[in-house]
Amino acid sequence: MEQFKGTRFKRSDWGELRWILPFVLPAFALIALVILYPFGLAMYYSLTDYNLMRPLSRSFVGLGNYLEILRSGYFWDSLWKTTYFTLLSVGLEFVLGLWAAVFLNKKFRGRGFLRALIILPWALPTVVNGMMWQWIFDANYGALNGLLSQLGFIKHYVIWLGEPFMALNSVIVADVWKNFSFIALLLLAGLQTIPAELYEAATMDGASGWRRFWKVTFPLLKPSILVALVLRTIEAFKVFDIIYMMTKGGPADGTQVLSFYIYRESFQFLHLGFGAALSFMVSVGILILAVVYIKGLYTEVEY
Amino acid sequence: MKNQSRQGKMWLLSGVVLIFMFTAFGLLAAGAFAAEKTTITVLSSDDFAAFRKAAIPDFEKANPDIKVNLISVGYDQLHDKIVTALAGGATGFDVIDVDEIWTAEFVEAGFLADVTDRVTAEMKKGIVPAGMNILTYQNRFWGLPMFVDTKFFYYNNDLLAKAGFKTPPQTWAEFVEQSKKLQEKKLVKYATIWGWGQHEGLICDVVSIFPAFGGRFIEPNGKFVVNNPDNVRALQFMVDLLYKYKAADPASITADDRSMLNSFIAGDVAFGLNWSFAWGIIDDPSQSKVAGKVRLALMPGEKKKSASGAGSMGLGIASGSRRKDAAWKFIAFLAERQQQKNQAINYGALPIWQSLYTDPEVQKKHPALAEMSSQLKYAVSRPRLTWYSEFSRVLQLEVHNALTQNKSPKQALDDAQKEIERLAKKYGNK
Amino acid sequence: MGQRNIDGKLKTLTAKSSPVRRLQNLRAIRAAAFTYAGALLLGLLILAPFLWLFITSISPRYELAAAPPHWAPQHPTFLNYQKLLNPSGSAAFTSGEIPPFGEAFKNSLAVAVAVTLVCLLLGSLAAYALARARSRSADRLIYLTIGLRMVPEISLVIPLYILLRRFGLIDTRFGLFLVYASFTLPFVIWIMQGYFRTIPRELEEAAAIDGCSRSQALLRIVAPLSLPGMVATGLFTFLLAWDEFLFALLFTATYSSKTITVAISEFTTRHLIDYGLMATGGILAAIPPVLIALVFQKKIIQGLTAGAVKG
Repeated sequence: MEQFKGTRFKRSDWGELRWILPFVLPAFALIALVILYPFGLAMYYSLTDYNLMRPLSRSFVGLGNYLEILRSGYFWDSLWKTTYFTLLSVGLEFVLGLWAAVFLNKKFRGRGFLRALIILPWALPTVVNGMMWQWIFDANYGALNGLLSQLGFIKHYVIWLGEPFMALNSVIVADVWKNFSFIALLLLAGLQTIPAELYEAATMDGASGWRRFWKVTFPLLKPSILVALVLRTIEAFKVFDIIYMMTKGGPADGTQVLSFYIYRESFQFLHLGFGAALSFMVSVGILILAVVYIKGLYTEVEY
Repeated sequence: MKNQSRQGKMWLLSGVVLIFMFTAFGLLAAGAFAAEKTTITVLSSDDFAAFRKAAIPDFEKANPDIKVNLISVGYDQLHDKIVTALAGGATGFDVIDVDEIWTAEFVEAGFLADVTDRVTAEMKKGIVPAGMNILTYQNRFWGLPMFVDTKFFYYNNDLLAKAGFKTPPQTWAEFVEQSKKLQEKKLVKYATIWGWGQHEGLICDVVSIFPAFGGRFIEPNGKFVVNNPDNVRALQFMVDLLYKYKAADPASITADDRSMLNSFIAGDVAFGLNWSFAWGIIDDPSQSKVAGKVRLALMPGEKKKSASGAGSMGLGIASGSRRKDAAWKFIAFLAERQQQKNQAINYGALPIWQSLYTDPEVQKKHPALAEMSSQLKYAVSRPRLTWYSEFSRVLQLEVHNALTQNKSPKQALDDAQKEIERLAKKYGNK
Repeated sequence: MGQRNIDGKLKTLTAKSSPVRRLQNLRAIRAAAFTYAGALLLGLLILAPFLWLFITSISPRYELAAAPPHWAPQHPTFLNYQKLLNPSGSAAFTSGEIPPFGEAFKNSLAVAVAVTLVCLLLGSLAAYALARARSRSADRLIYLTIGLRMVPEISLVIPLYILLRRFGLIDTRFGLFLVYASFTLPFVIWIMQGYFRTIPRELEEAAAIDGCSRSQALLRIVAPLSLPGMVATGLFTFLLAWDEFLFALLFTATYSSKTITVAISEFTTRHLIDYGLMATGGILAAIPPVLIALVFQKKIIQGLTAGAVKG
């Protein structure tokens, strides 16, 4: 059997197909109907000037939408904001998550309790998280201003969501709070698979804490790290819910990330063709990111 | 051999699953059609949904063959909901709620059914023109107005009296003066809070303030003059309210016409702009600390005596509806004098019938009616464009750029002018 | 390895009896202080926002409009919970209506449970076949499933809407179920096929020699072994479905299908923003996923890493 691996349409492949197909068919039929077909439709729309305001005069414009996107200042602006959001939030989530995971892998009293808690932020629905942080950041009655001014860190209340760049960073804080716990969970699980003897060996060799981390922990943790980063990067690049709840893209477009830009073009201006083209550009961006990651992932794990 | 038959079973199983899935599909689809009697579905904004809901039993009693299914969503979600629902001639909704700024867009998109032949002579004669206009496009009627509305100037008379003012401000300069006094006397931390987040509500305030300074967006000849000096001065004034006079709560930048009400009904601010629906909340002691202390005044002026942004809404029939007659019956029912009277008295709205403004009962039971109707004379409409959403989006962004001190007012409006000229060219000035 | 281990133990033993013990004790105390400071920090970081949410939910409205905030409400009340759980029992208190929270809760529950069960069934079948297949097309399908995770949901909203409407599935739980299930299936397949690969093929081959068919082997040998993975994936699926917002926002219109996330988002667009009520809604919406996460934490993590890392 094994020698047929990698060749196509050998007799045995057909034999294999015969038993695989019934297993695979129901799932992929559903996927084809609800994802692939609309995907194809959206791809077609992206090549037309489909505009709900003139639904009947839909004509083929080739790559016109894509060219217009590249010329649009809004696009580059929201691409930059999305990139900033993704890099900073995933970066912070990673640092914080790694710290929490390494920390929770140490032995101390109360560890069990903290390990149980760490899953909480991730389990909180995103919409609730957005609403909660909007209230925490509330300029007049929010907890953050109250706390900081009582502790003497700020003199005047800060309008956290009222200044474009500050608002973007505030949304990042809310996102990091929820998702660092996801990374911590994955990494903690990865840490627990590292045999204790390896540490002992490294300790005996006189390695310091940092060296031990870089020489032993990090390489073995790499697969978990990559998985965490792939999943989070994809999600962060598609971010929508938390923006919708906290800022709706404002102030002064300060938090207009790509998904929200697409939402606006499609549902406020009814430019379905343009919106579809935009989302394909986003998909391609995510695809590139993912391919880079997955390449790394597969080479690390399997070989 | 045995293996073979087992595999056959697997095939069978997956076949069954598939068939099950598709029959489920089919049944549900069939169910949707079978339910079609004369149930009409109405997509309504929250604003006066309570009134509409209360009117349904009466309507159903008068029309036993029609059932009304009212769906209400927040104003913020209404436009997007209508657009997704009606994309490509849908039949899901029969009656939709239309803001005056959407009429051109919805008609061009083919969302609305032409109701010109259904509008009676009495309606044409008796409904105030400011109302009737909102659903008129290309000389045809596309629905009926449900209430007439503009931004109103609410003030807390109690606070003003404490500060020693007998009358509310008549000009924006006076507004600043009174604000300073109120704040100096520590009656309030900030004299006012605006709903100046980046959304449509911001434009409603812009068309209340810009025209007072003599500003406008479009010349009579159709040329856009977004960056004319009066507009720049007005925008500079808005910026100064926040940063120079510090008369407005800086949180205005993130607020809207709903959240600013929280500060107003708590008595934290003395002045506030809002729609007619706000009156019902402000004057309700169970919700508001300032009930009984608040009055309405004419919106302050500057170059002009007064100006306020218009924001009436109405109901139209979805073009894809298969129950247009029943849908019209419901719309006409809500537009009737008796219902309009009820809406005015119990829910604080301004009625669409000219005659109701002089109706003794309405005058008695709607304490703000006189002030409200005098403001109507100064109502300013937002530009009527098929691409209004995009116009507004550009203006929102650039005004916000100025309000967050990203750009100077001049720079912001210059940029807005440039982008709007580009859009106007793209859409052929329609 | 064994030798080194023993050496290491010897070393620690000798260290303990060495004269520098006091210094080491000091260091140990300092390390412990660091550890507990870290623990406190992490605990606060996680719990403080939750705590504030809870405090908000039990504060009367006038106490929320206070600066500085009342960290402990002077007149705590469960009125908000009462209003949400039993809306008919309380008179109208805002000009907007109270969203029928119970209905939204039921909708979310029904959709999430159905999605979980169906995805597990269909997804596991497909994943098993793909994990065991040797042909290239199977690999391609696996890559396809990964690729599907990258499509931004928003790009499919319009065509999906048109499709759902054609079948009369707008504003139905079944419509939401279909969409959620399809978007979750690739994920389930990806995780589960990774999981199945950890189960040695030899077990089934042995069973085949004993005369078992593939489906028998699947049921009797693979299924029990993969049960932990299925539980983990199922819980994860449930959490994803519970969390979904965009499709629910656009594909529902009434409370016959609106989910809990939509209900929460509507609090912010009603007439007055009542943060107490919103916080209460948030807490109620968070209860199912938080409980699941707390109870099944270990399972979720194990399954997730087994599937994802080894995929």
